[in-house]
This record gives sequence, C-alpha cells and structure tokens, in this order.
Amino acid sequence: MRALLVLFSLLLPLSMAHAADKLQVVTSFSILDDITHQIGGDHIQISNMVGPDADAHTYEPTPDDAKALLKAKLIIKNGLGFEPWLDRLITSTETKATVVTASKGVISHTMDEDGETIPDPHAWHNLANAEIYVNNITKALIAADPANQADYQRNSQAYLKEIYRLLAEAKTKFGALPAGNRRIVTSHDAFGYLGQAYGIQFLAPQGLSTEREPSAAEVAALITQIRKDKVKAVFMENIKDSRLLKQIADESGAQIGGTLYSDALAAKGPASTFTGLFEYNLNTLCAALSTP
Amino acid sequence: MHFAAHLWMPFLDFVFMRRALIGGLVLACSTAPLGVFLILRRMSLIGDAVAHGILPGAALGFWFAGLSLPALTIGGLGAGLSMAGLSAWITRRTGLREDASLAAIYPISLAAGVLILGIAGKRLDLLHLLFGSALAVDETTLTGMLWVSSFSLLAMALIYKPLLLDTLDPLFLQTVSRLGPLAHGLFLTLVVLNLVIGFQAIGALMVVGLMMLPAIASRFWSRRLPVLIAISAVLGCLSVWLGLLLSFYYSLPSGPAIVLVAGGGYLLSVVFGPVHGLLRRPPLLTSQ
Amino acid sequence: MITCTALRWGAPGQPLTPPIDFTLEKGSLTGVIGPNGCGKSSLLKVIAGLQKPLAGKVVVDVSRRGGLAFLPQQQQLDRQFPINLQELVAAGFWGARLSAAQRSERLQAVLEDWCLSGLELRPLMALSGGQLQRALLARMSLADSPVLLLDEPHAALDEEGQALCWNHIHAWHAEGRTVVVVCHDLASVRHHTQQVLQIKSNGCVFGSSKELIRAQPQMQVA
Repeated sequence: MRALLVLFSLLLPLSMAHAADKLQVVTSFSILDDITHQIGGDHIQISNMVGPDADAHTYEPTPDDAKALLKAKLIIKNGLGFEPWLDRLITSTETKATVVTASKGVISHTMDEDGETIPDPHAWHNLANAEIYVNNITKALIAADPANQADYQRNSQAYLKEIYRLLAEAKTKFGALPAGNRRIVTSHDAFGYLGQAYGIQFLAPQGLSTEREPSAAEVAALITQIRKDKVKAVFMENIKDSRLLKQIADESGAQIGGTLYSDALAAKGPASTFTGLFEYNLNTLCAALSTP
Repeated sequence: MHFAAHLWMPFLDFVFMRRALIGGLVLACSTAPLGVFLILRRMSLIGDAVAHGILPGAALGFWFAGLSLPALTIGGLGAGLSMAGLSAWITRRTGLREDASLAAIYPISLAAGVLILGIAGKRLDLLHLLFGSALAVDETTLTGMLWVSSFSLLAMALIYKPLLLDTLDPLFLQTVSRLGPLAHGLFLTLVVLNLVIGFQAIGALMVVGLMMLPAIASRFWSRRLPVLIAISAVLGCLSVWLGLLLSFYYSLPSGPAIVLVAGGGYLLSVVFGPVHGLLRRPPLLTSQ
Repeated sequence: MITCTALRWGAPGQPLTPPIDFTLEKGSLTGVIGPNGCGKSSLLKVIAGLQKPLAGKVVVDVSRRGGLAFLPQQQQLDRQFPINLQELVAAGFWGARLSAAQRSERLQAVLEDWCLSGLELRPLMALSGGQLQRALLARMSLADSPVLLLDEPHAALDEEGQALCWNHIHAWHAEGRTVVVVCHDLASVRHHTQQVLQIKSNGCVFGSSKELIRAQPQMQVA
C-alpha cells in the first residue's frame, strides 16, 4: 500500500508537469475543435465550447467556459460574426490569451438579412477556405508553442493533403451533376459558400441565423418557389428541429433528402470529423441531385 | 383581387396556413376561460413561470429517452403539474398567496433543470427544442391540440361552478362542498396542459399571449363572467386570424404577430372599453 | 347541538384562551361577545370546520357540509368579481334539488325578504356595503341549514338593516335552527339573545346575557 502511495506521489508531479506542458487552447465550436486537434495532436489540450450537434447561433456561455478562457493561452474562433457571445465573454473575463480568427483572409460574401448587409460566417463549407483556416491555426499554434513547430507543420501538411483530395473529389462529383437543376432547400442559409463554389442554389426559410422565427410570408414564398422550380430535395439539419422543414416538404411535394451537417459536427458517425462532415454532405447532396 | 378575398385566400392556398389557423383558433377557445380565471385568481404570470419551470421535467425526459419530443413533452408536463400542484398545496395549507407561492417555486424548478442538464452532460438548449412555431403544426400536432382543447373545454364546463365559488368565496364553498380543492387542482392541471402542449405546438410567446391578453382585455367590456369568457375567446380567435394574415402579407414572424394583434386589442379595450375604459365616464356607484 | 370540549384555538403555538368547554343546545340562539382580536371569528371557523383547533374537539350533530352555514366577514370577498347580485345569492342553492321554476320563485321571495328586490342584475362591484351584507344573508337564508353561524352580520348595515337582520335571526330561531351570532353591539345582544358566550383572554364565560352583560357595563365596544 505504501509502495503504491510513493509511486503515485512520484507520478503525480510528472503527469501534472506533462499536462502543464501542453498548450491550453480554447476553440469556439466543434469544427474548429477538430481542425485544431488534427494539427496540434498531443501537444495541445483543447477545451471546446459549442459541442457536436449544438447550435452556435443560440449558444449561451457558462461559468465553465469563462474559466476555460482564463486558463487558455490561445483562443480560436471562427469570426465573421459567428460567435458574438464569445467576443463579449473575452471582454468580460479580460483573459490574456491570444485570440485567433480562423477565417482571417477568407473572401467572405455578404447576405442581406432584414435589410441589413452582414457577412456570412459559414466559410468552412467551401473547402478551399478550409486551407486558409488550417494555415491560420498552424501559424497561431507555432507562435504560441515554437518548441513543437516541426510537429505542427508536419500534421498540417498531412491534413492539407487530405483536404486537397477531398477538393478534387468534390470537383469531380459536383461537376458531374446536371447543370439545370441544382436547387436544394435546407433550414437555414448555412451553405452559401458551398453553393458559390459549386454552383448550387440553397434556399432556406430561415436566414443566416437560426435565431429568427420565419414569417408565414417566407414559408409561403419558399413553398411556391419549390413548386415552381421543381426543387428536388429538402434537407434537415442536425442542429435544428425538423418539423418546419417536414411541413414545407409535405406541402410542396419535395422529397426529404436526408440530413446535412451545417454548423456542428455529429457526436458520432461519419460526420464527426470535419473532413468526414464535408465528404458526407458531398455524397448526400450528390445522391439527391443526380436522381432525375 | 377583391379586398375581402385577401382575408381568406392564404388559408385556401396553403395547408400550413390552414393548420396554423385551426390550431390557433382551437387553442384560443380553450385558453380563454383559463385566462379569465387566472386573472381572477391573481395568477396572471403563471405562463412565464411554467415556461421556465418545466425544464427539469424536460431534462429528465431527455436524460432517459434522448431527444424524443414525446419524452420531453411528458417530462415537461410532469414538471409543470408538480410545480403548480406544489405551489397550490402550499397556498392552501399556509395561506401564502398563490402568486408568491408560484414565484418561489419556479426558479427552484428552473435551477434544478439546469443542474440536471449539467449532470446529464449536455448543454442543450432544451427549451428551444420544446418550443415550436405556428407554421410547423403538422397533422399529429394538430390532432393533439384538438384533443387537448376539447378535453379542456369539457372539464372547464364541469368544474365551472365550484371553481367560480372557490375563486370568489372559498370559505362558503368549503361549508357546502368538498369540491373546492379538486376544482382548483383540475384547473391548474388544465392550465399546465394547455401551456405545455401549446408551447410545443406553437411556441411559448404565443400561448402565453393568447391565454392572457384577450382575457385581460375582456374585462373592459363586461361585468359578467360568462360574457368575459366569450369575449376573450372571440378576441383570441381574431388575434390568431389577423396575426397570421399579418405574418403572411408583411413578412412578420407568426408568434409575435399574433401577440401584437392581441396587444393592440388590449390597448383599444383600455381606451374605448365601456367598463372602466379611459374614454368612458366612471360608472356611477350607487349607494342605498 | 354543538359541544366543545377542552377547546383551544388560534395561530399555531399561540392559543387565544385557556381550554374551554361549553355546549350550545339544539335550537338555541347564542350571542358571542368579546374584545377585538380575542378570537370570535376564529371560534366560529373552528366550529364550522374551516379551521383546525389547537387542542380539544368540537362535536356538531349535523353533517359538516350543508348542515352548517357560515357567514364570513365581508372583507374576505373579492369585490371586483364579475357576477351580479342574483348569481351571488343563488349560490345558496348549492346541492338543492329544485326545478328552475322553483329556484326562481324562492330566489325572488328571499330577495324580497331582505329588501333586495329590483337589484338582481346589479354587479357585485356596484353594490354598497349594506346591500352586499344583505345579499350574503339572503344567500344564507336560501341554504336552509339547521345550524347557522354568523360572524358580525350587522356590520355595514344601517339601523333599518340591523333590525331586519335581527328579525330574520329570530325567525330562524323560531324555526328550530341553532343560531350563533358574533356581535359588537352589547345592548342589542342583551336585548335579542338569552344566552351569551363571552370570550376573554383568560377564559370564557357562558351564561345568561342579561346577567353577563350587566355584570361588566364598562366593557367597551371596540
């Protein structure tokens, strides 16, 4: 018994030292969590705020989040107005951590939301932007923890390779779709960047954020458009209640094409990593759009 | 198009509008008597209390059955009923006023709910999931609402007399009947039931607004209880119909639009209502 | 008949009097007097079964529901409640098996008895204190109970109203009902009742009104 205690007391400082060696990072939501993890590996300890299957648009931070912000050396957020609650929390906790905007350098497009022009934050859906995300995050990790620079760069290159592979796959698959009919309905305007990259039109009753309740006019307009344009498929999202979408599908005669993952990773399954998410969405969309 | 046609065309053209209308009308009718009695019993803020206080039930439902809407609803109902029941019991036993009793219990309930969610490991916005929207009323939900509404109206008809006396003169009722606490309990059950089903079907803001605003407005039009209930129902139905039309033609979110119309009705009543309205001369109180 | 044995009542832990015993015979008319706050209203509530005693027991030989009619003090009512006089009085019909025509007839008669004819449709909030008090008394008339407990029925009534009230009390007494009346006006109590229960903080005395009230002429009506 005593031997165990001695052993334990020897190991304890070691493990703590090891933990203390890890770079403390906070990421704002699950997609950033995954990307950062792929690059940082064992050298970093990530505390993620908005978990899988959760909606970052309506997230309310907790005291645990505040504590994590204070402990962290690096905070990685998406930016483009995706996490206004995070900016407020950073200000109120007066954390000394470095804040990194993963989407820095992305050419964003704007959306018209209730007459206001605001940037569309869902930049990660265009995989080309993912490259910018990866580079920004890698640079930030290296700046915060230069000792492990080599590892970070190695991981980053490997990850980018995977991303290029996916980009090529997307080009082929989306390219093969018939040009005339590339219209999809989802619950909110999350896929603008994907649509832009591959010429797919995404229609939605809710605008950029899931916070707003849609009006009858918007729903009616969507149903009319679906009928008129003969939109093929309606897709649910993993973060939102699907009843409204089912209503729209029922009434307009569109099919339910499955679930797309928009603002969060899945807790488990193929879409539980970022690359997995992209590939899953890609295949689901193509399956629906290529049927006549 | 003829102006009058604008008033009903959207409902002919779109199934979702029809369902929203029927669901709303049905709910307006069943919540009308509830709202009137809530005001008479000084419990006007119960809607808010229940909206937050059902969280522990929903959390437990989620813990056991995951994100299943029936589980969340049943859990929510259980929590709401327990909360209302406990506060009513405390009121009856200790004489603490009903609104104070409820105001004490619902934050406890809400906090318990947040704690349970924390233990269950998920930081989900369960309440957002529980609250639906009028535009998403599907076949099953509408059927559910029809059942709840019919049951509610029937039950209210049965307990009308004892409930009236229990509200007006509970001591008298106690001397002639045992039905007082039973009527009180059933009434609270109906309130929670309508609220929870209403939340799920058409959203929190709308149900509470539909329950209370027409009832409060009706007091400016009559001094007789059955008339108050009838006026309340009519105002509620009008609010649903006009609110949906506003949402359709002016692109406003449906819940707030309906509540705004109800609110407008209330303001008009305050100004023009014959009973204590601002523009009427004060009624002459006769003495012997 | 109402029998109280070793009875103590009041707020929990704060009994108002030492234990008391008394019996009110069937068909008797008893006045209840005492200074303000001594527990007259509470005693009536205990007898009516609306409040639990702190000690001892009360035995009433009629069924608690319907057998006992209790007239509360006026302020317990919500004056803003949306009903009219007719509906308020008609609540006294609770449980009675009468046809609509019979109810209407009895209601009219009772309203006339209490000088309330013509006021049927007046809303509660528009009634004066005196009218409301007579309405509550009319409701009690309708109830037809063998035991009547009245808590300050003369409050808010003018001289005419008070006389009317005592007339009815005597009429009820003559019909063989047991009547208990709380009243502040000692002269009236002495005049109208035979026996009186006098409640004091150090105990209660039960006896003839003429003796007890003359015995302490300086007791103030609060």
